[in-house]
Amino acid sequence: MRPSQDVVRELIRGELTALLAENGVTDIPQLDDDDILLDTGLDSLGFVVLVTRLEDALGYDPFTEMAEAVYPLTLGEFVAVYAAPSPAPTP
Amino acid sequence: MTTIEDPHGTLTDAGLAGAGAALRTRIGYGATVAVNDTRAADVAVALTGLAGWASDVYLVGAREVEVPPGVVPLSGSADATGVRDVETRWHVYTSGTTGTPRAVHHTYASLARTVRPDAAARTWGLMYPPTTMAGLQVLVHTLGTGGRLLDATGLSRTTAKVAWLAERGVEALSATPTLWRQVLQSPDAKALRLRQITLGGEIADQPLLDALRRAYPDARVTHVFASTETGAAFSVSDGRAGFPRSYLVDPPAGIRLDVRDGVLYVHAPQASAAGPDGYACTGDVVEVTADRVLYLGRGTGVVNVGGVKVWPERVEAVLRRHPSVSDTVVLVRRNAFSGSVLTAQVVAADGVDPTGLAARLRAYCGEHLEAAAVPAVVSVVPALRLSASGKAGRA
Repeated sequence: MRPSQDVVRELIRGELTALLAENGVTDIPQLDDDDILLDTGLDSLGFVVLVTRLEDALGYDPFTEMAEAVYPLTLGEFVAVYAAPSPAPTP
Repeated sequence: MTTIEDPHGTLTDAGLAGAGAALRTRIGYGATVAVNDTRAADVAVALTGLAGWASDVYLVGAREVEVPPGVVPLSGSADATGVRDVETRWHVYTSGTTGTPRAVHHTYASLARTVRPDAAARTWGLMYPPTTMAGLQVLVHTLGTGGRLLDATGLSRTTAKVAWLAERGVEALSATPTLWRQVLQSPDAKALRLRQITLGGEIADQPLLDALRRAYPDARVTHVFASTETGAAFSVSDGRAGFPRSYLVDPPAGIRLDVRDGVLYVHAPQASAAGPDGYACTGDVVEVTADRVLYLGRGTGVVNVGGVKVWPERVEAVLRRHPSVSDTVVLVRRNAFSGSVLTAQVVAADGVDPTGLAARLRAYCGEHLEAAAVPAVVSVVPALRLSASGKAGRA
């Protein structure tokens, strides 16, 4: 049972904000669902770090669980990946 | 005059001989035995009592492993098997990179390879379990030189081991670099009067070698390169990390070394891991400089983060230089986007406020390492988890 979309969204926005601040980004964007992930000021390694921290916070990494790779474009799509039901185990 | 002491008692030469003889009345010639015991005294009885008597001895200790059928424990009985001219095979377990222990067999000669009978008989402390290769080296050395062994392995905390060893007058001690850092942080560290310090099992970095020399100016500091696959190989006592480049040309203690594609190989034809030319791969990746061969890390340890090769050991070295860090282990985690990613567990130095430390250390890594090598997460933990042989875990 995954946490709800709203819970996941707030957690992600919190971690993303903290990470951007840690990386010295002073002009942290609003972080709405429509925002393009890679335009938030996070580079590819920063994205990797975010996913790692979310795994620590949530206890799962939906990207390693996926059978087919999904590359979210916006923050909303990213949130959806985390809020989606966990995939059924392969027979 | 060998003696083996632990907090429960002392085994003397005579006791050792008597127990060995008693063993041979119960266990017939050519039998196969499993040693599940964890006290050095009991393992010593097995080593001396079964040498040239049992055909195979599995040094299991506390490990949960399956032994072949028909194997009796040390406390059991077995009939003679009718085998003649036994050459005892000693099966030593490694932890392996997959975590499942596997056994490598040795002759007593290959176990006792580094023992020089003319070496001074000292009082050695034992911190490694006696059924690990490192522990066996200390035990076999004691038996071969008629020394006194202080078996501290039954005590659980490093601080308790150090206190007991200091009280019993330990002179020589062999431990992993991780354990040595803990020794240096123990309250009774200053009470140790060490003449011989031996390090093995992990990379002995220069800062630790320097710290040990400062703490124990009367001690000779030796770091040993040994692999369970080949038995103890060679040692370095010049106070510098790595080993002299001349060892590649002038075999130290007759052990031939070779560097192939940046990986260290050792000539050990009787080892089960040896290739057709008699050389066995140690799995250690090294860097050859003008006068030195330096260890970079385990070959299985190099990690690919977003296409960039990083060494957890290098990241650990950087973190250890920070004054607020007592010790650290850098772990590897799978990541769908970069292949792998590093995370770090850090033990804060005495008196350091852990608040905000993780973020500061991450920034510090950013200043000294390429971006891919900076741990994604730094966690401040009360202690590092150690394996039975005293190594900081990186599974």
